[in-house]
Amino acid sequence: MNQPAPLSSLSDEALMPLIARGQELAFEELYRRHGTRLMRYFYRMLHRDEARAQDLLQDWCIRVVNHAGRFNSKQAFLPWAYTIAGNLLKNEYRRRSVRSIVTVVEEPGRLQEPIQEWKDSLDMEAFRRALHFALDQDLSPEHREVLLLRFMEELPLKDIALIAGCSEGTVKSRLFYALKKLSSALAAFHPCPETPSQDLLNSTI
Amino acid sequence: MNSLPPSFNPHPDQEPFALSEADRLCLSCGLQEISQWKHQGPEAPALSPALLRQVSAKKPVAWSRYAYVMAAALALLFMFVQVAKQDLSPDPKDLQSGHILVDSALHDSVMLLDEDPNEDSIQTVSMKDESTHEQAGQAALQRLDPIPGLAASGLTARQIAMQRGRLTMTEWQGPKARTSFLGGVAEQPKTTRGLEDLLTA
Repeated sequence: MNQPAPLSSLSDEALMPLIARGQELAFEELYRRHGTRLMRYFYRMLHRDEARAQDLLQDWCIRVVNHAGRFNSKQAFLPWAYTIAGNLLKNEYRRRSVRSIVTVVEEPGRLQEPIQEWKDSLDMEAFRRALHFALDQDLSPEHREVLLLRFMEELPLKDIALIAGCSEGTVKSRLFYALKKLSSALAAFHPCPETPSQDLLNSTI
Repeated sequence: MNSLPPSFNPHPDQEPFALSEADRLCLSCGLQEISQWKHQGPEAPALSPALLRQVSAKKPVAWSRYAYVMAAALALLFMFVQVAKQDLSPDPKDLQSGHILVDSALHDSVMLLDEDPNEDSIQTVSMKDESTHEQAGQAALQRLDPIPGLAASGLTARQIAMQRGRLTMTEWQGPKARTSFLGGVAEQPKTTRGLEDLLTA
């Protein structure tokens, strides 16, 4: 007698029809694989608001469950999943004024202190704070989206274009301008507090 | 020629979307840090039982369960057809002369009674040949009492009825008849009985 394949051996795409048929275990398996990843993506996109990231993750789960029947198993799961996440984020940005929330994020001191003095007290923590600040304040949601999808989620440009609903050329353009802004925001930290990895950039755009 | 050559590059010293070396140096640490975020940050909370219940609630309903719904829908459809098939036209003997009856419930005919209330005087015009009740009423008038130039006048049956002052137009709209009378009758009967009373009054 043939035993059904264990859920852990099935691909994401193969799990979706099972979820559509109401198999809780299939959804648990999918959540185990991607829940934390999506949670961290929401967390970064929402300026490290953990409570709100949890809410959006919950909404994401509900949407996946409700639309599982419409998922085309010939398409890849991850772009579909991130498209849902992107739509939820767009709704969230629309719903609330992100700017008013971001302004309470602590300024890392680049305006208050002289650059030289700041450089003297440079450490990795200050660098991280500056990076977060630049990401939250300097980048638009569209730029932040492509930047995180490319460098945090390490998705290919083709998938990012699907998720963002634009052409690959537009993704490249957004990446370019996002990186330019990030670069100018981090210029004060050159040379970096840690040894940089050039490989990451070489394959970027 | 207005279009730019394919090799056009607004920054000839750079490849399109190419970052300068200085930018790359400034970014490398930042991107290194961002790439670590996938492994840093809050964990996903445990799945709530309510959400899992929602998953199981998505189980497709067996076809047998739809049978009840389909049976109910068929019964409703049958009842609707029975109601629609009812002959809502009033008995001609209940009608008096000078009435146009526009049957808008069945959309099939217009009847017109002459001054002499016998069955032979009832003129029926099929609505299939006329696009509106008004046109059908006008055609009925033409048959009963041909008036030269009436068709070309553009007057509707309603207008003619008002002009002649002796005709009553009755519009039927299903079992709960809505009637509008022209020619001096003020009441609006709600049922066939009401119409009958009104016409024989």
